Amino acid sequence: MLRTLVRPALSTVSKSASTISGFKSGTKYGGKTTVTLIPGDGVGPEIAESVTTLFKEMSVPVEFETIDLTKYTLNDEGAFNNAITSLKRNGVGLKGVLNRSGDFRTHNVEFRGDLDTYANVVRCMSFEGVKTHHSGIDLIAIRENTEGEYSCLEHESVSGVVECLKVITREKSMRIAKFAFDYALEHNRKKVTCIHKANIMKLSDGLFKSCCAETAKLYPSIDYDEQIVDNTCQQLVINPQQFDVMVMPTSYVTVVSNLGAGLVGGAGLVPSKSFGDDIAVFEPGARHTWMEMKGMYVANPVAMVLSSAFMLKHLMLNEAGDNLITAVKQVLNKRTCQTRDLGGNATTREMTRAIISELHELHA
Amino acid sequence: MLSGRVCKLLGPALARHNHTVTLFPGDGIGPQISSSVKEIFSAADAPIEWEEHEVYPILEKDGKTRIPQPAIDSIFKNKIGLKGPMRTAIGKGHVSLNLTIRRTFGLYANVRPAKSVPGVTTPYSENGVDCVIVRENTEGEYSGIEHTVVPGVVQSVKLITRDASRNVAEYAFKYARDNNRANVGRAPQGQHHEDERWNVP
Repeated sequence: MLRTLVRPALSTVSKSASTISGFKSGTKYGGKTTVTLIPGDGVGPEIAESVTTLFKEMSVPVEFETIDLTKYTLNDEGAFNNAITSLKRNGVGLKGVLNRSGDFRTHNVEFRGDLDTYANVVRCMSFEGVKTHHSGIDLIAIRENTEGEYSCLEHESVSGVVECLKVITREKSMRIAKFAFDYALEHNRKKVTCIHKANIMKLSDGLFKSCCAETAKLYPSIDYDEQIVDNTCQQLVINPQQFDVMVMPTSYVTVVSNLGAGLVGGAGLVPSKSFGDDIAVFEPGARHTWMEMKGMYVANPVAMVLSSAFMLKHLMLNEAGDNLITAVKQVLNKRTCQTRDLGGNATTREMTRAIISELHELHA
Repeated sequence: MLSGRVCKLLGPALARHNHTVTLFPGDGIGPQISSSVKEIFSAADAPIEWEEHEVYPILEKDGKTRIPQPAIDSIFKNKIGLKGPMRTAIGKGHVSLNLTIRRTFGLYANVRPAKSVPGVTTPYSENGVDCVIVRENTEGEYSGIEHTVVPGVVQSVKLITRDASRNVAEYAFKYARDNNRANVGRAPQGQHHEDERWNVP
Protein backbone atom coordinates (compact mmCIF):
# COMPACT_ATOMS: atom_id res chain seq x y z
CA MET A 1 0.00 0.00 0.00
CA LEU A 2 1.42 3.34 -1.04
CA ARG A 3 1.40 5.96 1.62
CA THR A 4 2.02 9.50 0.53
CA LEU A 5 3.42 11.73 3.19
CA VAL A 6 2.32 15.29 2.82
CA ARG A 7 4.90 17.74 4.12
CA PRO A 8 3.33 21.17 4.00
CA ALA A 9 5.73 24.08 3.94
CA LEU A 10 5.43 26.17 7.05
CA SER A 11 7.39 29.38 6.95
CA THR A 12 7.74 29.47 10.72
CA VAL A 13 9.51 26.12 11.03
CA SER A 14 12.34 25.37 8.65
CA LYS A 15 13.95 22.26 10.14
CA SER A 16 12.12 19.06 10.91
CA ALA A 17 12.92 17.17 14.07
CA SER A 18 15.40 14.34 13.81
CA THR A 19 12.76 11.64 14.15
CA ILE A 20 11.16 12.40 10.83
CA SER A 21 14.19 12.38 8.55
CA GLY A 22 16.00 9.71 10.54
CA PHE A 23 19.33 9.72 12.19
CA LYS A 24 21.31 12.51 10.56
CA SER A 25 24.41 13.21 12.57
CA GLY A 26 26.44 11.20 15.02
CA THR A 27 29.76 9.68 15.86
CA LYS A 28 30.80 6.48 14.14
CA TYR A 29 34.07 4.64 14.64
CA GLY A 30 34.83 1.29 13.02
CA GLY A 31 31.20 0.73 12.10
CA LYS A 32 30.01 1.32 15.67
CA THR A 33 27.86 4.28 16.63
CA THR A 34 28.77 6.06 19.85
CA VAL A 35 25.85 6.83 22.11
CA THR A 36 25.95 8.85 25.32
CA LEU A 37 24.74 6.87 28.33
CA ILE A 38 23.74 8.69 31.51
CA PRO A 39 22.64 6.02 34.00
CA GLY A 40 21.02 8.52 36.36
CA ASP A 41 20.23 8.27 40.06
CA GLY A 42 18.48 5.77 42.29
CA VAL A 43 17.82 2.53 40.41
CA GLY A 44 19.10 4.15 37.19
CA PRO A 45 22.50 2.39 37.10
CA GLU A 46 20.85 -1.01 37.61
CA ILE A 47 18.39 -0.67 34.74
CA ALA A 48 21.14 0.85 32.58
CA GLU A 49 23.18 -2.28 33.28
CA SER A 50 20.29 -4.32 31.83
CA VAL A 51 20.59 -2.39 28.60
CA THR A 52 24.38 -2.73 28.30
CA THR A 53 24.12 -6.47 29.02
CA LEU A 54 21.43 -6.92 26.38
CA PHE A 55 23.29 -4.92 23.76
CA LYS A 56 26.43 -6.98 24.36
CA GLU A 57 24.43 -10.18 24.07
CA MET A 58 22.85 -9.01 20.80
CA SER A 59 26.24 -7.77 19.48
CA VAL A 60 24.65 -4.46 18.57
CA PRO A 61 27.14 -2.06 16.88
CA VAL A 62 26.70 0.56 19.55
CA GLU A 63 29.45 1.90 21.80
CA PHE A 64 28.39 3.62 25.02
CA GLU A 65 30.08 6.76 26.31
CA THR A 66 29.01 6.57 29.94
CA ILE A 67 28.77 9.74 31.98
CA ASP A 68 28.00 9.42 35.66
CA LEU A 69 26.19 12.41 37.09
CA THR A 70 25.17 10.82 40.39
CA LYS A 71 27.72 12.55 42.59
CA TYR A 72 27.46 15.96 40.99
CA THR A 73 25.16 18.83 41.81
CA LEU A 74 24.25 21.79 39.70
CA ASN A 75 27.09 23.69 41.37
CA ASP A 76 29.61 21.45 39.67
CA GLU A 77 29.27 22.59 36.11
CA GLY A 78 32.13 20.47 34.76
CA ALA A 79 30.46 17.07 34.73
CA PHE A 80 27.18 18.51 33.56
CA ASN A 81 28.79 20.34 30.65
CA ASN A 82 30.60 17.11 29.73
CA ALA A 83 27.26 15.39 29.40
CA ILE A 84 25.81 18.17 27.26
CA THR A 85 28.91 18.27 25.00
CA SER A 86 28.85 14.51 24.62
CA LEU A 87 25.19 14.51 23.65
CA LYS A 88 25.69 17.31 21.15
CA ARG A 89 28.59 15.44 19.60
CA ASN A 90 26.96 12.02 19.46
CA GLY A 91 23.46 13.19 18.63
CA VAL A 92 21.87 10.30 20.53
CA GLY A 93 21.59 9.57 24.22
CA LEU A 94 20.12 7.04 26.59
CA LYS A 95 19.36 8.50 29.96
CA GLY A 96 18.09 7.36 33.32
CA VAL A 97 16.21 9.73 35.60
CA LEU A 98 18.21 12.33 37.49
CA ASN A 99 17.16 13.04 41.04
CA ARG A 100 15.61 16.38 41.72
CA SER A 101 18.11 18.55 43.53
CA GLY A 102 17.08 21.31 45.87
CA ASP A 103 18.55 23.77 43.42
CA PHE A 104 16.74 26.23 41.28
CA ARG A 105 16.28 24.10 38.20
CA THR A 106 16.26 20.35 38.17
CA HIS A 107 18.80 18.42 36.14
CA ASN A 108 16.17 16.98 33.85
CA VAL A 109 14.87 20.43 32.99
CA GLU A 110 18.38 21.82 32.45
CA PHE A 111 19.07 19.10 29.91
CA ARG A 112 16.02 19.92 27.87
CA GLY A 113 16.79 23.61 27.86
CA ASP A 114 20.45 23.28 26.87
CA LEU A 115 19.83 20.67 24.20
CA ASP A 116 16.55 22.18 23.02
CA THR A 117 14.98 18.72 22.97
CA TYR A 118 11.66 20.36 22.59
CA ALA A 119 9.43 17.36 21.91
CA ASN A 120 8.92 14.68 24.53
CA VAL A 121 6.98 11.58 23.50
CA VAL A 122 5.71 9.15 26.13
CA ARG A 123 4.23 5.85 24.95
CA CYS A 124 1.74 4.10 27.22
CA MET A 125 0.80 0.72 25.81
CA SER A 126 -0.95 -2.24 27.38
CA PHE A 127 0.83 -5.58 27.59
CA GLU A 128 -1.13 -8.79 27.32
CA GLY A 129 0.60 -10.42 30.24
CA VAL A 130 0.24 -7.51 32.64
CA LYS A 131 -2.99 -7.59 34.59
CA THR A 132 -4.62 -4.17 34.80
CA HIS A 133 -8.14 -2.74 35.01
CA HIS A 134 -8.06 -1.67 31.36
CA SER A 135 -6.56 -3.31 28.28
CA GLY A 136 -5.97 -2.31 24.70
CA ILE A 137 -4.39 1.04 25.52
CA ASP A 138 -1.86 2.52 23.13
CA LEU A 139 -1.63 6.21 23.69
CA ILE A 140 1.10 8.68 22.91
CA ALA A 141 1.48 11.82 24.99
CA ILE A 142 3.51 14.55 23.32
CA ARG A 143 4.59 17.57 25.22
CA GLU A 144 6.33 20.80 24.55
CA ASN A 145 9.39 20.28 26.68
CA THR A 146 10.99 23.67 27.04
CA GLU A 147 8.43 26.24 28.10
CA GLY A 148 5.10 26.42 29.89
CA GLU A 149 5.05 25.86 33.63
CA TYR A 150 8.52 24.36 33.53
CA SER A 151 10.11 27.62 32.41
CA CYS A 152 11.13 27.63 36.09
CA LEU A 153 10.68 31.34 36.47
CA GLU A 154 9.68 31.77 40.08
CA HIS A 155 10.11 34.56 42.55
CA GLU A 156 8.82 35.65 45.91
CA SER A 157 7.20 39.08 45.39
CA VAL A 158 6.75 39.73 49.10
CA SER A 159 7.34 37.34 51.97
CA GLY A 160 4.68 34.63 51.82
CA VAL A 161 3.59 35.30 48.23
CA VAL A 162 5.21 33.31 45.44
CA GLU A 163 4.67 33.70 41.72
CA CYS A 164 5.48 31.11 39.10
CA LEU A 165 5.42 32.21 35.49
CA LYS A 166 4.07 29.98 32.79
CA VAL A 167 5.22 31.20 29.40
CA ILE A 168 3.64 30.06 26.14
CA THR A 169 4.91 31.31 22.80
CA ARG A 170 3.42 31.00 19.34
CA GLU A 171 6.71 29.85 17.86
CA LYS A 172 7.16 26.88 20.18
CA SER A 173 3.49 25.97 20.13
CA MET A 174 3.49 25.82 16.33
CA ARG A 175 6.69 23.78 16.42
CA ILE A 176 5.29 21.14 18.76
CA ALA A 177 1.97 21.02 16.92
CA LYS A 178 3.78 20.32 13.65
CA PHE A 179 5.87 17.68 15.40
CA ALA A 180 2.77 15.97 16.75
CA PHE A 181 1.05 15.80 13.39
CA ASP A 182 4.22 14.67 11.59
CA TYR A 183 4.68 11.99 14.23
CA ALA A 184 1.09 10.84 13.79
CA LEU A 185 1.57 10.60 10.02
CA GLU A 186 4.84 8.74 10.28
CA HIS A 187 3.51 6.20 12.76
CA ASN A 188 0.14 5.61 11.09
CA ARG A 189 -1.87 7.24 13.85
CA LYS A 190 -5.41 8.42 13.18
CA LYS A 191 -6.12 11.21 15.62
CA VAL A 192 -4.42 14.04 17.49
CA THR A 193 -6.11 15.51 20.58
CA CYS A 194 -5.04 18.84 22.03
CA ILE A 195 -5.25 18.84 25.83
CA HIS A 196 -5.64 22.26 27.43
CA LYS A 197 -7.23 24.36 30.14
CA ALA A 198 -8.17 27.30 27.96
CA ASN A 199 -11.46 27.98 29.74
CA ILE A 200 -9.45 29.30 32.69
CA MET A 201 -6.08 30.18 31.13
CA LYS A 202 -7.64 31.80 28.12
CA LEU A 203 -4.56 33.57 26.78
CA SER A 204 -1.80 31.03 27.40
CA ASP A 205 -3.56 27.72 26.78
CA GLY A 206 -5.78 29.55 24.31
CA LEU A 207 -2.69 30.39 22.25
CA PHE A 208 -1.44 26.81 22.45
CA LYS A 209 -4.81 25.45 21.40
CA SER A 210 -5.20 27.83 18.47
CA CYS A 211 -1.73 26.88 17.20
CA CYS A 212 -2.74 23.22 17.24
CA ALA A 213 -6.01 23.97 15.44
CA GLU A 214 -4.17 26.01 12.81
CA THR A 215 -1.68 23.19 12.20
CA ALA A 216 -4.48 20.61 12.04
CA LYS A 217 -5.86 22.26 8.91
CA LEU A 218 -2.65 21.32 7.06
CA TYR A 219 -3.11 17.61 7.83
CA PRO A 220 -6.59 16.74 6.58
CA SER A 221 -5.96 12.99 6.82
CA ILE A 222 -5.51 13.16 10.59
CA ASP A 223 -8.54 13.70 12.85
CA TYR A 224 -8.22 16.50 15.35
CA ASP A 225 -10.10 17.38 18.50
CA GLU A 226 -9.62 19.29 21.71
CA GLN A 227 -10.29 18.37 25.30
CA ILE A 228 -10.07 20.16 28.63
CA VAL A 229 -7.51 18.44 30.86
CA ASP A 230 -9.92 17.72 33.74
CA ASN A 231 -12.23 15.87 31.39
CA THR A 232 -9.19 14.08 29.93
CA CYS A 233 -8.29 12.69 33.35
CA GLN A 234 -11.80 11.44 33.82
CA GLN A 235 -11.87 9.89 30.34
CA LEU A 236 -8.51 8.24 30.96
CA VAL A 237 -9.88 6.23 33.87
CA ILE A 238 -13.21 5.47 32.26
CA ASN A 239 -12.27 4.80 28.64
CA PRO A 240 -8.53 5.19 27.96
CA GLN A 241 -8.74 3.30 24.65
CA GLN A 242 -10.26 6.38 22.98
CA PHE A 243 -6.94 8.22 23.03
CA ASP A 244 -4.43 8.06 20.21
CA VAL A 245 -1.92 10.91 20.02
CA MET A 246 -2.28 13.69 22.60
CA VAL A 247 -0.42 16.97 22.45
CA MET A 248 -0.27 19.41 25.36
CA PRO A 249 1.80 22.03 27.17
CA THR A 250 4.39 20.77 29.62
CA SER A 251 2.77 20.24 32.97
CA TYR A 252 -0.31 18.32 31.87
CA VAL A 253 1.84 15.58 30.40
CA THR A 254 3.33 14.85 33.79
CA VAL A 255 -0.15 14.09 35.06
CA VAL A 256 -1.42 12.38 31.90
CA SER A 257 1.65 10.21 31.30
CA ASN A 258 1.80 9.06 34.92
CA LEU A 259 -1.93 8.33 34.79
CA GLY A 260 -1.31 6.41 31.56
CA ALA A 261 1.58 4.56 33.19
CA GLY A 262 -0.65 3.53 36.08
CA LEU A 263 -3.29 2.29 33.66
CA VAL A 264 -0.88 0.00 31.76
CA GLY A 265 0.88 -1.40 34.79
CA GLY A 266 3.25 1.16 36.28
CA ALA A 267 6.25 3.38 35.74
CA GLY A 268 8.41 0.34 35.05
CA LEU A 269 6.74 -0.25 31.69
CA VAL A 270 6.63 3.14 30.01
CA PRO A 271 9.34 4.32 27.59
CA SER A 272 9.81 7.81 26.24
CA LYS A 273 11.94 9.78 23.83
CA SER A 274 12.81 13.43 23.48
CA PHE A 275 13.66 15.08 20.19
CA GLY A 276 15.39 18.27 19.21
CA ASP A 277 16.33 19.24 15.68
CA ASP A 278 19.64 17.35 15.87
CA ILE A 279 19.50 15.37 19.09
CA ALA A 280 17.42 12.48 20.37
CA VAL A 281 17.41 11.37 24.00
CA PHE A 282 15.72 8.16 25.11
CA GLU A 283 14.65 7.64 28.73
CA PRO A 284 11.95 6.04 30.90
CA GLY A 285 8.62 7.84 30.55
CA ALA A 286 7.56 8.25 34.16
CA ARG A 287 10.30 10.04 36.04
CA HIS A 288 10.83 8.02 39.20
CA THR A 289 14.29 7.35 40.58
CA TRP A 290 13.06 5.09 43.42
CA MET A 291 15.95 6.17 45.61
CA GLU A 292 14.97 3.88 48.50
CA MET A 293 15.62 0.77 46.41
CA LYS A 294 18.97 1.87 45.06
CA GLY A 295 21.42 -1.01 44.92
CA MET A 296 18.80 -3.68 45.60
CA TYR A 297 18.26 -4.70 41.98
CA VAL A 298 14.49 -4.97 42.31
CA ALA A 299 13.55 -2.40 39.70
CA ASN A 300 11.74 -3.32 36.50
CA PRO A 301 14.12 -2.62 33.60
CA VAL A 302 11.41 -2.81 30.90
CA ALA A 303 10.91 0.96 30.56
CA MET A 304 14.63 1.53 30.05
CA VAL A 305 14.98 -1.50 27.77
CA LEU A 306 12.04 -0.40 25.59
CA SER A 307 13.51 3.12 25.42
CA SER A 308 16.80 1.58 24.26
CA ALA A 309 14.91 -0.51 21.66
CA PHE A 310 13.33 2.68 20.28
CA MET A 311 16.82 4.15 20.23
CA LEU A 312 18.03 1.23 18.10
CA LYS A 313 15.23 1.87 15.63
CA HIS A 314 16.17 5.55 15.54
CA LEU A 315 19.73 4.48 14.67
CA MET A 316 18.23 2.48 11.75
CA LEU A 317 19.05 -0.80 13.53
CA ASN A 318 15.44 -1.81 13.03
CA GLU A 319 15.82 -5.57 13.27
CA ALA A 320 17.65 -5.39 16.57
CA GLY A 321 15.12 -2.91 17.92
CA ASP A 322 12.12 -4.98 16.85
CA ASN A 323 13.65 -8.20 18.23
CA LEU A 324 14.22 -6.54 21.57
CA ILE A 325 10.65 -5.26 21.74
CA THR A 326 9.27 -8.71 20.80
CA ALA A 327 11.47 -10.40 23.43
CA VAL A 328 10.25 -7.99 26.14
CA LYS A 329 6.61 -8.58 25.19
CA GLN A 330 7.17 -12.36 25.31
CA VAL A 331 8.65 -12.18 28.80
CA LEU A 332 5.71 -10.08 30.02
CA ASN A 333 3.14 -12.33 28.33
CA LYS A 334 4.56 -15.52 29.81
CA ARG A 335 4.29 -14.08 33.33
CA THR A 336 6.93 -16.46 34.65
CA CYS A 337 9.41 -13.72 35.43
CA GLN A 338 7.88 -10.69 37.13
CA THR A 339 9.50 -7.93 39.15
CA ARG A 340 7.84 -6.49 42.26
CA ASP A 341 5.74 -3.92 40.44
CA LEU A 342 4.20 -6.72 38.39
CA GLY A 343 3.38 -8.81 41.43
CA GLY A 344 6.37 -11.14 41.44
CA ASN A 345 9.75 -11.09 43.13
CA ALA A 346 12.20 -11.40 40.27
CA THR A 347 15.30 -9.23 40.34
CA THR A 348 16.37 -6.81 37.66
CA ARG A 349 19.07 -9.23 36.53
CA GLU A 350 16.64 -12.16 36.38
CA MET A 351 14.38 -10.08 34.17
CA THR A 352 17.35 -9.28 31.92
CA ARG A 353 18.24 -12.97 31.66
CA ALA A 354 14.64 -13.79 30.75
CA ILE A 355 14.76 -11.25 27.93
CA ILE A 356 18.05 -12.74 26.75
CA SER A 357 16.61 -16.25 26.58
CA GLU A 358 13.65 -14.93 24.56
CA LEU A 359 16.12 -13.30 22.18
CA HIS A 360 17.91 -16.64 21.75
CA GLU A 361 14.58 -18.28 20.96
CA LEU A 362 13.86 -15.67 18.31
CA HIS A 363 17.13 -16.47 16.61
CA ALA A 364 16.73 -20.22 16.90
CA MET B 1 -4.04 21.90 68.65
CA LEU B 2 -6.84 22.02 66.08
CA SER B 3 -10.01 23.46 67.59
CA GLY B 4 -13.51 24.12 66.35
CA ARG B 5 -15.57 21.89 64.16
CA VAL B 6 -14.99 22.50 60.50
CA CYS B 7 -17.79 24.06 58.47
CA LYS B 8 -20.55 24.61 61.02
CA LEU B 9 -23.61 26.31 59.61
CA LEU B 10 -23.82 29.88 60.82
CA GLY B 11 -27.00 30.93 59.02
CA PRO B 12 -30.43 31.66 60.53
CA ALA B 13 -33.34 29.20 60.73
CA LEU B 14 -36.89 30.27 59.84
CA ALA B 15 -39.77 30.35 62.28
CA ARG B 16 -41.09 27.03 61.01
CA HIS B 17 -37.57 25.58 61.44
CA ASN B 18 -37.06 25.39 57.71
CA HIS B 19 -33.69 26.31 56.35
CA THR B 20 -33.55 28.78 53.51
CA VAL B 21 -31.03 27.74 50.92
CA THR B 22 -29.90 29.82 47.96
CA LEU B 23 -30.15 27.99 44.65
CA PHE B 24 -28.15 28.83 41.49
CA PRO B 25 -29.50 26.46 38.79
CA GLY B 26 -26.62 27.16 36.37
CA ASP B 27 -26.27 26.47 32.63
CA GLY B 28 -26.80 23.59 30.25
CA ILE B 29 -28.25 20.67 32.16
CA GLY B 30 -28.13 22.79 35.33
CA PRO B 31 -31.80 23.85 35.38
CA GLN B 32 -32.96 20.24 34.76
CA ILE B 33 -30.90 18.66 37.52
CA SER B 34 -31.78 21.53 39.88
CA SER B 35 -35.49 21.01 39.34
CA SER B 36 -34.97 17.28 39.98
CA VAL B 37 -33.53 18.16 43.37
CA LYS B 38 -36.44 20.48 44.16
CA GLU B 39 -38.96 17.79 43.23
CA ILE B 40 -37.22 15.14 45.30
CA PHE B 41 -36.86 17.40 48.32
CA SER B 42 -40.51 18.35 48.08
CA ALA B 43 -41.57 14.70 47.86
CA ALA B 44 -39.41 13.92 50.88
CA ASP B 45 -40.93 16.86 52.72
CA ALA B 46 -37.42 18.13 53.44
CA PRO B 47 -37.45 21.30 55.61
CA ILE B 48 -35.77 23.40 52.94
CA GLU B 49 -37.01 26.59 51.32
CA TRP B 50 -35.30 27.55 48.08
CA GLU B 51 -34.32 31.09 47.18
CA GLU B 52 -33.54 30.86 43.49
CA HIS B 53 -31.27 33.38 41.74
CA GLU B 54 -29.85 33.77 38.30
CA VAL B 55 -26.10 34.15 37.96
CA TYR B 56 -24.53 35.90 34.99
CA PRO B 57 -21.34 37.93 34.58
CA ILE B 58 -21.39 41.70 35.02
CA LEU B 59 -18.30 43.47 33.73
CA GLU B 60 -17.32 46.39 35.94
CA LYS B 61 -15.60 49.56 34.76
CA ASP B 62 -12.30 48.49 36.37
CA GLY B 63 -12.30 45.33 34.27
CA LYS B 64 -13.31 42.98 37.08
CA THR B 65 -16.22 40.58 36.70
CA ARG B 66 -18.85 40.19 39.38
CA ILE B 67 -22.15 38.37 39.77
CA PRO B 68 -25.52 40.13 40.32
CA GLN B 69 -26.02 41.78 43.71
CA PRO B 70 -29.25 39.89 44.62
CA ALA B 71 -27.33 36.62 44.27
CA ILE B 72 -24.52 37.92 46.48
CA ASP B 73 -26.93 39.23 49.13
CA SER B 74 -28.82 35.96 49.22
CA ILE B 75 -25.72 33.87 49.94
CA PHE B 76 -24.47 36.25 52.60
CA LYS B 77 -27.87 36.10 54.27
CA ASN B 78 -28.41 32.34 54.10
CA LYS B 79 -24.78 31.25 54.40
CA ILE B 80 -25.55 28.14 52.38
CA GLY B 81 -26.17 27.48 48.71
CA LEU B 82 -26.65 24.80 46.07
CA LYS B 83 -25.14 25.51 42.68
CA GLY B 84 -25.52 23.90 39.27
CA PRO B 85 -22.74 23.72 36.67
CA MET B 86 -21.82 27.03 34.99
CA ARG B 87 -20.37 27.24 31.54
CA THR B 88 -17.07 29.01 30.84
CA ALA B 89 -16.15 30.05 27.31
CA ILE B 90 -12.91 28.51 26.05
CA GLY B 91 -10.06 30.74 24.97
CA LYS B 92 -12.13 33.92 25.15
CA GLY B 93 -15.03 35.57 26.92
CA HIS B 94 -15.62 36.46 30.54
CA VAL B 95 -13.78 35.06 33.52
CA SER B 96 -15.17 31.78 34.83
CA LEU B 97 -18.30 32.32 36.93
CA ASN B 98 -17.24 29.43 39.13
CA LEU B 99 -14.01 31.29 39.90
CA THR B 100 -15.87 34.56 40.47
CA ILE B 101 -18.23 32.90 42.94
CA ARG B 102 -15.33 31.36 44.86
CA ARG B 103 -13.62 34.71 45.11
CA THR B 104 -16.75 36.65 46.03
CA PHE B 105 -17.56 34.41 48.95
CA GLY B 106 -14.02 33.43 49.92
CA LEU B 107 -14.67 29.74 49.29
CA TYR B 108 -11.09 28.69 49.80
CA ALA B 109 -11.55 24.94 50.30
CA ASN B 110 -13.18 22.76 47.69
CA VAL B 111 -14.02 19.29 48.99
CA ARG B 112 -14.58 16.47 46.51
CA PRO B 113 -15.39 13.07 47.93
CA ALA B 114 -14.96 10.18 45.51
CA LYS B 115 -16.71 7.09 46.71
CA SER B 116 -17.70 3.94 44.83
CA VAL B 117 -21.46 3.77 44.50
CA PRO B 118 -23.08 0.35 45.08
CA GLY B 119 -24.86 -0.64 41.90
CA VAL B 120 -22.55 1.33 39.63
CA THR B 121 -19.94 -1.13 38.34
CA THR B 122 -16.56 0.26 37.37
CA PRO B 123 -13.17 -1.45 36.93
CA TYR B 124 -12.39 -0.15 40.41
CA SER B 125 -15.54 -1.42 42.18
CA GLU B 126 -13.81 -4.56 43.42
CA ASN B 127 -11.40 -2.74 45.71
CA GLY B 128 -13.72 0.20 46.16
CA VAL B 129 -12.75 3.85 46.03
CA ASP B 130 -13.20 6.09 49.07
CA CYS B 131 -11.10 9.20 49.07
CA VAL B 132 -11.65 12.90 49.57
CA ILE B 133 -9.83 15.56 47.60
CA VAL B 134 -9.49 18.97 49.19
CA ARG B 135 -8.29 21.68 46.88
CA GLU B 136 -7.24 25.27 47.39
CA ASN B 137 -9.81 27.14 45.39
CA THR B 138 -8.78 30.76 45.14
CA GLU B 139 -5.25 30.92 43.78
CA GLY B 140 -2.67 28.85 41.97
CA GLU B 141 -3.00 28.47 38.20
CA TYR B 142 -6.58 29.63 38.50
CA SER B 143 -5.58 33.16 39.42
CA GLY B 144 -6.38 33.88 35.79
CA ILE B 145 -3.63 36.49 35.76
CA GLU B 146 -2.40 36.51 32.18
CA HIS B 147 -1.02 38.98 29.72
CA THR B 148 0.55 39.14 26.30
CA VAL B 149 4.15 40.27 26.71
CA VAL B 150 4.76 40.80 23.01
CA PRO B 151 2.64 39.37 20.18
CA GLY B 152 3.11 35.60 20.21
CA VAL B 153 4.40 35.40 23.79
CA VAL B 154 1.92 34.93 26.63
CA GLN B 155 2.61 34.79 30.32
CA SER B 156 0.33 33.23 32.90
CA VAL B 157 1.00 33.72 36.59
CA LYS B 158 0.53 30.94 39.12
CA LEU B 159 0.23 32.53 42.51
CA ILE B 160 0.76 30.71 45.81
CA THR B 161 0.61 32.42 49.19
CA ARG B 162 1.57 31.11 52.59
CA ASP B 163 -1.75 32.18 54.16
CA ALA B 164 -3.97 30.45 51.61
CA SER B 165 -1.82 27.31 51.72
CA ARG B 166 -2.02 27.23 55.52
CA ASN B 167 -5.78 27.77 55.51
CA VAL B 168 -6.50 24.91 53.19
CA ALA B 169 -4.04 22.59 54.96
CA GLU B 170 -5.74 23.34 58.28
CA TYR B 171 -9.11 22.74 56.69
CA ALA B 172 -8.00 19.36 55.33
CA PHE B 173 -6.86 18.18 58.75
CA LYS B 174 -9.99 19.44 60.50
CA TYR B 175 -12.11 17.73 57.87
CA ALA B 176 -10.20 14.47 58.35
CA ARG B 177 -10.59 14.71 62.12
CA ASP B 178 -14.31 15.51 61.99
CA ASN B 179 -15.04 12.78 59.48
CA ASN B 180 -12.93 10.05 61.05
CA ARG B 181 -10.44 9.83 58.21
CA ALA B 182 -7.18 8.13 59.13
CA ASN B 183 -4.60 10.09 57.18
CA VAL B 184 -3.98 13.04 54.91
CA GLY B 185 -1.63 12.79 51.94
CA ARG B 186 -0.50 15.72 49.86
CA ALA B 187 -0.11 15.78 46.12
CA PRO B 188 2.17 18.48 44.82
CA GLN B 189 3.35 18.21 41.23
CA GLY B 190 6.83 17.15 40.36
CA GLN B 191 9.15 14.25 41.03
CA HIS B 192 9.08 14.93 44.71
CA HIS B 193 5.92 13.03 45.61
CA GLU B 194 7.39 10.52 48.00
CA ASP B 195 4.23 9.27 49.58
CA GLU B 196 4.04 11.65 52.51
CA ARG B 197 1.22 11.09 54.92
CA TRP B 198 0.52 12.69 58.22
CA ASN B 199 -1.47 11.02 60.94
CA VAL B 200 -4.44 13.02 62.11
CA PRO B 201 -4.15 13.98 65.80
